[in-house]
Amino acid sequence: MIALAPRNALAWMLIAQLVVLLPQLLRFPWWISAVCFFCGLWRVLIFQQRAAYPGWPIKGFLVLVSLVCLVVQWGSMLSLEPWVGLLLLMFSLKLLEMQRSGDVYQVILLGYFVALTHFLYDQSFSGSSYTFACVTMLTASLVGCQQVRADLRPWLPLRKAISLILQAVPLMLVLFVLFPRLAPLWSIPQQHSMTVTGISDRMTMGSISELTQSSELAFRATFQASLPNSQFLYWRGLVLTEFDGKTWQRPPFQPKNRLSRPGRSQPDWLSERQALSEPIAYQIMMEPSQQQWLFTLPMVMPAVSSKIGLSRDQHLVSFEPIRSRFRFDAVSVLSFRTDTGLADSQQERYLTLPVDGNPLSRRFAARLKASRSSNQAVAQAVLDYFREEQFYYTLRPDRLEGEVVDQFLFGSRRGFCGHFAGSFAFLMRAAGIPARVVVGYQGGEYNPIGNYIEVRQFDAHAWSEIWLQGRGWVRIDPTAAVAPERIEMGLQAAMQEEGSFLENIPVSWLKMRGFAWLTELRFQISAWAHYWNSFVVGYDPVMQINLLSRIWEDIQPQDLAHITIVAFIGIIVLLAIIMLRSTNSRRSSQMSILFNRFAALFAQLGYARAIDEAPLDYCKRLMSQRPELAEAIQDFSSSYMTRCYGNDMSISVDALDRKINGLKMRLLSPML
Amino acid sequence: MKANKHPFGRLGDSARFRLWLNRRVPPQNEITLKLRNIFILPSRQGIFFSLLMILILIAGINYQNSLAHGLAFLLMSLFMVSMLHTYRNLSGLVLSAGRAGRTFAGDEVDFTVTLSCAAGRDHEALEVCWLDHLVTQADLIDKSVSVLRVSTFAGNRGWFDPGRLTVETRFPLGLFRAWALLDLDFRALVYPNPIAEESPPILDEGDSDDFQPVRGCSDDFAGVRDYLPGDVIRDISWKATARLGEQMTKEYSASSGAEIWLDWYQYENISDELKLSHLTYWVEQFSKQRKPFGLRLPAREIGPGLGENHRRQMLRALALFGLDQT
Repeated sequence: MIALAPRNALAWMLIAQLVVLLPQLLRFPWWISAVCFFCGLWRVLIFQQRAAYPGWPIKGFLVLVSLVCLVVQWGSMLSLEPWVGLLLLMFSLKLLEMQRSGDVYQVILLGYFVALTHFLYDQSFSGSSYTFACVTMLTASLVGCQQVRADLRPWLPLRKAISLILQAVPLMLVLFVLFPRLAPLWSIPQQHSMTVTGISDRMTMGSISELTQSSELAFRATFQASLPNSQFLYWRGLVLTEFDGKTWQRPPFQPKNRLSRPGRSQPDWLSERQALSEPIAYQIMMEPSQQQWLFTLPMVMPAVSSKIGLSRDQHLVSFEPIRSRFRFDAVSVLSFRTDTGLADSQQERYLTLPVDGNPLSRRFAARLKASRSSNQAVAQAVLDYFREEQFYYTLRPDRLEGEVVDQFLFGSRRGFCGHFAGSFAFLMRAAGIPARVVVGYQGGEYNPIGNYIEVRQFDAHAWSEIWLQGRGWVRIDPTAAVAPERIEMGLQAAMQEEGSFLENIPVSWLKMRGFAWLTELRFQISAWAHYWNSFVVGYDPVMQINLLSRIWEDIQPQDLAHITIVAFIGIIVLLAIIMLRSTNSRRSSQMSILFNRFAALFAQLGYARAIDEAPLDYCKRLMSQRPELAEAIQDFSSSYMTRCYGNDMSISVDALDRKINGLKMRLLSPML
Repeated sequence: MKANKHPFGRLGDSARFRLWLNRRVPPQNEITLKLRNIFILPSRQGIFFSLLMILILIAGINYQNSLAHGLAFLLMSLFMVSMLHTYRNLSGLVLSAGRAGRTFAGDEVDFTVTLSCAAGRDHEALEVCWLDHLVTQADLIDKSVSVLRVSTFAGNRGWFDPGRLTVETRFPLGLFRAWALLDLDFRALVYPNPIAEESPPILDEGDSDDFQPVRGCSDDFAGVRDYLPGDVIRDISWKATARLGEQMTKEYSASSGAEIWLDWYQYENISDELKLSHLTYWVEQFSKQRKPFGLRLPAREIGPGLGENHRRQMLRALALFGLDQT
């Protein structure tokens, strides 16, 4: 391979490279873009013959600087980012020594690899469509490398690439559906700096939660049967039991509170639960949160999946952080009793408060406890207090310092769910009632097109649970006492007056509920994204077997390999038959091609050759029908016959071809 | 342009391989490319491409990334589809042997190859060449016949068989290389290599001294005939060409006068081949000077004459001297 790369191929390749790099450059540090654009610019100057190829000292220097920058940027090469960065740099630096068509091939193959890295960061429908467009461009530059006479047909590579890809799609779909999905072969560097999103495992009273200003998707829930009422939509995430005077957090791990795992012996507490209504089944598709907790309706049943356990606090936990979109099935019973026989030692935990602090609140709780007959009445009294006094549910609370519970209850009285739930639980414990704080999401928006509930970060919510003798844990949501519309209609309705819903995002789809068509469109797009996530991105071994068992009953995973091979070969044979059939049926010698040209010429004038008409008969008929051309036709037919049947090679194909051209001139321009 | 290596590598040299190839793709004047005579294998780029496919699939498995699986499968399908396209780019193509040029031993010789295909079929980026020789690129786009000139180096004098013609393509993606090795029954006449010397081997009959270059004036115009590759431009009859629409060449008959005979027997103590080479040189010289002359060889004598046909007749006699004429 010493051939220089054709210029048209280079032009296609430079465009393809830019298109492939763009999304990654937006994700990676600016200096990688700088190196890429520097190399690209240099290569364009070479292309325009205004610059020369750099010598090895410059290339070596660039490589060295890039490697140093990579190590400085990420510290080590142990995560995914520096490797992708390295790939991007190699892909760009290769431009500076890309001269021969072999080099162009290397760059294009690297380009396919860069396209792969898109998928590690973005698997959305739009992102994937873009990546497949990149693959088409790369394929077009492959065609460009093969094309001769590019000046005549500059767009051929793109057209050819599109048609090739369209022909490849059926085979790809078959492989996608049938190819056995394997478990990871070995461990691989994971993404380094993914920000943890969603609910945190600490709730500091008085701090401002930023979640309420985020419209990012948390998860989508699809119910098998009808939807529960909105006041049941409390998506429990995790339970905060420890309070240090300012912050509620998770309990430290205790062996006797171990998770209930599928396939292991069931812990005692599991059998104490009582279901009082029919179970409802639903599926949750969680967006990556980098955390382990899962969100389900209470009371959730132990999960079937081996990746999920049920905690002592009645919520599901994934054994691995949710790094990519995660789908799981859950079954809940909306009416239930848990921990009716909570041991005294356990009760102790839910009564623990710091030794001192928040004296006003403690005194208030003691007063209520003394004046009420039952624990339930005490809780009701606190809710009444929230409802009757001047408490405000707001997304713009005052920042609190020091004795936060006292300051909130008897000072500012302005807060969001965290303030109400935290101080309610504090008051309960101060009054001797076991209490805890639960964080998760509440509500969500029903999408009628996709038939699912979409829960976004601003649906994040905190509430309390108190333990009552004989009833076990009971959910009490103090926010509902202050702002019932938050629970019934969602955050946006609750913030109607204040105008603080997503106030940091100037333009959001979600704020434009006034326009029905816009909402409709938003539902459409969301539903499409959900289908994409469920059936394409989320296509996994379980789904594969479920889908294929509709066609083949009792299919086993080990059959997949055979089915794939048979289908693969079958499709290729089918494609080959479709593509090559035209060749077989028209496979003909040069002579018959010539005669066909001759016949086609007369067919244009209405003298088509009958299927069973012999060449000589046809010529005779033509001579009688067009006597003025008889001489020329006779000339052609006698030469043709002599060559074909007399095997006289002195009559060249060229000469016959020229005779046809002469006839063509006379037939198509009758003026001459 | 690039030199072409044998598509079968070292295998191409073995006698058994040639025998097999002769059975599979026998010599013919006109050959249609089809399943029987087209070979197809992944090119080096194709092998790299398959490795890339596997790497992407492994990445997809390790990251449990569905779309990376999709990308790997798309590339796999593209690979297979491009194989069919590369094959289709050759299949259905009809090659036929045209005229072979004439040349001197050791020079390049041209062969005319006619490519044709069924109407409506495009065949792009075809490369036609003889093994170890320069590649001629061709395509059949929006036309069904294309006439190519493919050259190679001629061997020794006599009938030259250029061997098997390679037709090759990597279109559209370059991942596969499809080729056919065809024996189109080509035969070219190769004249001896002309070697200059000081004086011509003319029988000393007294008037050999007045040998002088004379510009063509003593020859008689005898008529016109079809143009043959190799005819000198000076001999083309432009009037006849304009009238008949085909290129025509003038022919001359020898005029009477002083007879010059190039004589084999004038040489002594040199090899036959060298004699032939010198004679060839003088045939060319006298033809250029438009001087009528004759040639005397053992068992063959060509009377004095002039013109292209006369020249060819002599060169042919020299080329085939002592060889089996069939």
